[in-house]
Amino acid sequence: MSTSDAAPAVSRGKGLPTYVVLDVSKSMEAHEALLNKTLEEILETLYSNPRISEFIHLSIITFSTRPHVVLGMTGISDLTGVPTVQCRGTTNFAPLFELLRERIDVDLQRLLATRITPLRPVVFLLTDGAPADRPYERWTEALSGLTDPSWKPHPHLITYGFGEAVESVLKQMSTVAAFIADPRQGTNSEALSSALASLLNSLVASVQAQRLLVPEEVKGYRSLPLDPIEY
Amino acid sequence: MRAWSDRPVPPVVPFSEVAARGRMIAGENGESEMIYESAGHPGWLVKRYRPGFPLQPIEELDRLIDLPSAMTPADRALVDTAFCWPAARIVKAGGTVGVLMAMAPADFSVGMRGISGETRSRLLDIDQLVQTEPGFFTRRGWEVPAPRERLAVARNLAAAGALLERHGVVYGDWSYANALWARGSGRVFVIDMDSCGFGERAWVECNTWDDPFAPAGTPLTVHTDRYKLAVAVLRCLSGTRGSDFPAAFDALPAALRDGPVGKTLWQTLTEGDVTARPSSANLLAVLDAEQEARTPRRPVTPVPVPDTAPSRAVVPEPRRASRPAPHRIEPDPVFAPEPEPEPEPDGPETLDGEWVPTAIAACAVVLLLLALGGVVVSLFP
Repeated sequence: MSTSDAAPAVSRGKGLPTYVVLDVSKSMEAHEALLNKTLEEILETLYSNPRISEFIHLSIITFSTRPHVVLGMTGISDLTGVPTVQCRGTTNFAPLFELLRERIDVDLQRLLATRITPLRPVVFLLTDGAPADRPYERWTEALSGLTDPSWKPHPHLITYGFGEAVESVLKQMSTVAAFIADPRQGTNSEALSSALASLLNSLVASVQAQRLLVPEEVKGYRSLPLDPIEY
Repeated sequence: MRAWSDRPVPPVVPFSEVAARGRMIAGENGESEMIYESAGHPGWLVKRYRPGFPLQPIEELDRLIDLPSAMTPADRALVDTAFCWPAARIVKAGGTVGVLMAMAPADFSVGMRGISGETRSRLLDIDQLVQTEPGFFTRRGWEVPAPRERLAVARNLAAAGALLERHGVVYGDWSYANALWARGSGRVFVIDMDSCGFGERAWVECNTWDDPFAPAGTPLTVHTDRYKLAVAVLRCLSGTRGSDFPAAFDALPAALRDGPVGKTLWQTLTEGDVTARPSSANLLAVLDAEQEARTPRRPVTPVPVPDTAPSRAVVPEPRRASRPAPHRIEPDPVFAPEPEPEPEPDGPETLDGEWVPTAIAACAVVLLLLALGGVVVSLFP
């Protein structure tokens, strides 16, 4: 008994395109080791749990003066080493948002080609600085392009800020939730560590719920139902 | 090993008895606030519920906790070895705040080499078995699972499912993360048992595991469990992931696909009338028969079998007129190529034709004896 002659193009299930975006400008240099350690932790979690990487399709992008795709949205299981980041340059957001829009277009088509039903992408953005774009308005124009509702795969944006990050800027960038560290409650390193832990918990919990679960605070989550993008 | 039968506390235990924390196992996740090893009762896990949980009535949880006491010794032995069965309900200020459960035995943990090259111990779930690429295993420092090992895991999953079904327990959450397996023996250990229901339970969504004949939101029953269990068995046997179960079915070795195991799985996965799906006991019976057929000349290890279990496989013919006609396909690379009319006696283990080398050897021995007999007759006429 075999079924291959009748096998239709069955969906391989839902997938959540996920972008972890890390600010690696010069001011983050003090946290470089911590960034690399937590990056490894995120990747190891996905690598050691195929059911998570089957749902969370992860890409890691760093940005400073220019953005850089550290990990494309490819199979985690094929990784043979952990990528590392280096901190230098200034905090330019416009090139980052433009790159994100390009990558989302490419990555979603790839997922569709592999019979995965993509949910709305989510971007977790961690930064410790204010936009250094010149002219300043460039980053808001690029952000508008990324979050344009008429562009079907426009992503959810969740922002974490600490250090010199500006609360109003974080709010403007986020579409779902924004978090800013309270310096009275800990150091920047602790803030970065807890943001990454929150991000990882959010991803793992989202796998179980089969939808994006956004943290309300460091502890606890607010559920945000996601609709498949219609093509 | 800790087990339901040697639980150190009564079925309802005050939180103060288990409040002291040992090793932290997990943080906030789903309905649990945290899971930790009890410092006062090593080997026992305390699962603390988040506020608002558990969702099912407390009476159901108590019934589940007490259920093994009414089971046959064989079933209770299976509960002890194959389930993380809730052993006690934890109460505080009149409310339920958690459950106590036995930790998974040590043989369900393995060392795993990560991306960085560092090896860490972890629980081995079937997420790590449902893989076709040998490199997946070798990169992690593991041997590629042998077909016999896959069959043992599948058989033991079916035994666990059959136990639940005959006691009317609806698990509802068969998934990659909720069944552990042990290398070599193929033993299994089913976790997340405390939210089981009797007769039915609330819907649980699980990507690529959902029953196509049970719409989202409908209560789950033992009949929907049959579907998910069959998916688990099919995936463990074939190594194939995804919701395209015909592809996984095609990846089965021919001996399984075209035999009672294949027929039972196929009917379970395609039967639109969920109540007409073959029972988990049926699935267990055909897997038992398959396992016995693969272990010639060796005593079969006794396994707990229900009093009510059928003594042989009952495999109804699939009802679907549209069932695809049989034809050969390329085998999954996990398994040895087929057909193998005469495999080498010391060749790779396969689920197909393991008896052939034995038969050839037996024939050779008989011929040798006949020849010797002829020589003897000619010397002593």
